[in-house]
This record gives sequence, C-alpha cells and structure tokens, in this order.
Amino acid sequence: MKLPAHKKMLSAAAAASVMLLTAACGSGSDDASTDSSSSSAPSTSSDDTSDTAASTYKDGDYDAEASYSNPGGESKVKVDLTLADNKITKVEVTPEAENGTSKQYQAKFASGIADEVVGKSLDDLNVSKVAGSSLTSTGFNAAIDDIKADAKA
Amino acid sequence: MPRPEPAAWQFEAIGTAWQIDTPAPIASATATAVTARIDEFDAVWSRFRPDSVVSRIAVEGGAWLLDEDSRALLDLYVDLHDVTDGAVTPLVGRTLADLGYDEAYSLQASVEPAAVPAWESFDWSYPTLVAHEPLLLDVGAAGKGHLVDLVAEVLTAHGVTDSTIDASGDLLHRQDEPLLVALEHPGNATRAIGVAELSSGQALCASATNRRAWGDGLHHVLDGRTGRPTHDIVATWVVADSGLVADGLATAHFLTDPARLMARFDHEFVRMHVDGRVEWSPNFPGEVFT
Repeated sequence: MKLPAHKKMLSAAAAASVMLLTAACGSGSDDASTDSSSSSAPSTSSDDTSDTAASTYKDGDYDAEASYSNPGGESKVKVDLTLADNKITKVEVTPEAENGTSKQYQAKFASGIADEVVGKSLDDLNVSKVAGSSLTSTGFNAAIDDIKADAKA
Repeated sequence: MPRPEPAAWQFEAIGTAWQIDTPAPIASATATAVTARIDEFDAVWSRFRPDSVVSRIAVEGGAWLLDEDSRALLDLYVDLHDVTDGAVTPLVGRTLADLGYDEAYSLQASVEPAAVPAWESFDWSYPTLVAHEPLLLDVGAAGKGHLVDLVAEVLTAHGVTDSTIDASGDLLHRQDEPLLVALEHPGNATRAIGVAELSSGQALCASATNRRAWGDGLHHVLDGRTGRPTHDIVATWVVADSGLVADGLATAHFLTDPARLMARFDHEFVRMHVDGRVEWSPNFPGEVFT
C-alpha cells in the first residue's frame, strides 16, 4: 500500500564513493601506526606518551597496506599517499594480487579446503535430490535456448 | 494402518520448477492455498511483473507499507548488506536489468548499465519502506528461499507437517527421514562434489553462476559495490534452519569472507572457487569428495 505523498520522508544524501575512500584510508593509517613492518613511513608515533602526535605530520610520501573483505577472504590493498602541509595531496590505492585467504580462514575456523575437486559420478551416489546449477529458472533457460536458436538461424 | 503412498506434486511458479514431496497426496484445497500464497508474494516482489509493488516503486518511489512477508526478508538484507560491506544489496535491480536480466530476459547488456544506488536512497523500518527516488529492488538473493518458508507455513496450516519443498535450488526438508542431496559439480552436471545430509527442519540452498550466465562474463550475482558480476566463486551451498537464511547466505558466500558470515549467522556452507578449489565449514552435514 502506498502512503500519501505528504508522508514521504527526507531525501537521500551521501556519496558512497567518498565513504569508501575514507574507509580505505582509515584502515590504511591504522595499519601504518600499528604495524610498522607494513609501512615505509618514518615512524613518528613511537613516542606515544607525548602528545606531539596531535596534528603535525612530516611532508613526504607514505605507503601502507589496508585489508578488505572479498570473496577470497581478506585481501590487501596498498595505499600510497603524499602529505604536504598536513594535507593529503595525492592518494593512490593499488590492489595487491596475493591473496592469503584460505590460510587465514582455516586458522580461524579450521574448515576444510581441497584443491580442485573432481567429485564423483552421480550414478554412483544414492541420493534423493541434486542441488546445483542445472536446475535454475526455466524462464531463463528458455531465453538462452531462444538466443541459441537465433544464433543458428 | 498401512502407510499412505508418498506423493510428489510438481508445478511451475515464479518462473521455476517446484516439487513438494509429502507422505500422502496434497489435498486440492491445500494446493490452491500454496499457489495463492506464491502469487501473493510474486505480486509484491516480482520485478518481472509491471503491476507488482516493486515495479511501482521503481516508477514512483515514495513511502510504502509492506506486508508481514517483507519483514524478515528486508531485515535479512539489511544484515547481509552490513556483514558484506555493501556487496549484498536489494538495490541491484536496475543494474541487473540493464545488464540484460530484465523482465523480457533480453540478456542484452546496455552500454552503460546503471550504477547501484547509494544505500541511503531508501529507508526500511517494518512496515514502512521509503524510496527516496524511484528504485528497482531485487530480492533475488533471498526471496525464493523466503518463499519456500512461506509455503511451508501454508502446508503446516493445512495440517501437512511432513514435507520436502524443492524450488529448484532452494530446498526445505521437514520429514524425519534424513534427505541426501548431491552437490552438483558446477562444471559437470553428471558429477557431484559432495553430498549434504539434511535433517528435519533444515534448508539447503544451492547457487551457481555458470549456468545462469549470458554474454561476456555476465551472470546474476552482482557485487553491490561495483555493480558487476563477481568471478572468484562459481558455486555455493548453504545449510541453515530456514530457506531465507540459506538463500541469502548462498549469495553472500559469493561476495565475502566466510569467516565473517560464520561469525554472524548460524549456518554451514560449501563453496567452489573458479579454479576448482573447494572450501567448507567444519560441521557441514554431509561429505565433500576430496
């Protein structure tokens, strides 16, 4: 049931791309401060008891690794940024190909993992049902058949 | 008293094949109630029906009061969006349609598919959905699993407590005898990579991208963050206590780290990577053939 127009609420806001970038930078800088091995930046925060960390940063090029969640697990991106006068003047985010996925996942949940699974012939199994991709939308399959037929015509 | 002969009722609904197995044939009044229930759901959620509620929201936007069916479904989407950092979202409808998965099954991708709208473009708090702009919602990631649960409720209400509902990929088993289900190899339909053993009350959802694919790397599982199909995972199977959760998580396992999903939702899974590697959760009920 549609509500009357006067009940419509406020309009939307927020650009997702800005949020994404912020998130990547945020975790990148976290990594930089907690894991010095992943950063080539000169360490300015080792002296945590002082409050000099407040707002001045040395000009220069910094890099750090940030991780994010993807289907393979946690993947990493390299973040390069240039600071001048306490401002970020350049940011570059590069995905890193290496994917440590399954190791990390296994450590946490001790799940099974197997290299290329060939499986067994269905004829050799005593099952009531099969679950997989061959049983999908009949409408979709019909459309695919139409396209194949058109392609042959 | 002799046991009645088991019965299998097969029918087509929401563009897919259904089969409901019961210890005895389903009464025609029950069958009518089941198909009516499916129609009711379809009338709200089908983006392939011009008169559906989602089709109207796609044209008009605005504030809508949705029925009780929508509650668990959209609440799950909110959770999945959160745990997948935005990869799972019902806002992919327009993008999917533009990529060719539209009401006519044109399977022709437009040159510039629409971007996925920002999450903030709608608000959901049962029973009110507010679309701040016309939005094409797509509940393909969890809707069919939810519908299986709804059908089970109808059967129960009609006194049919023992049943196995199979909606081509979404399966809910409610009989004492365990159900063995082969996990079809996505690359070879004559083979299985394992077997799931479902006990009563368990749902299994299987999802694979390779068959329901068209064009150049196009298929129906989109990453909401990029608006493009995902390619790392080719098939997933999830066992959970409802069709809704099993279906939603089967999609989520294409798009995010299993550890995060395992920490958040009670379920078991198997998934296959594009290179043929298979992962599964430690307590998956059944066997993976390694």
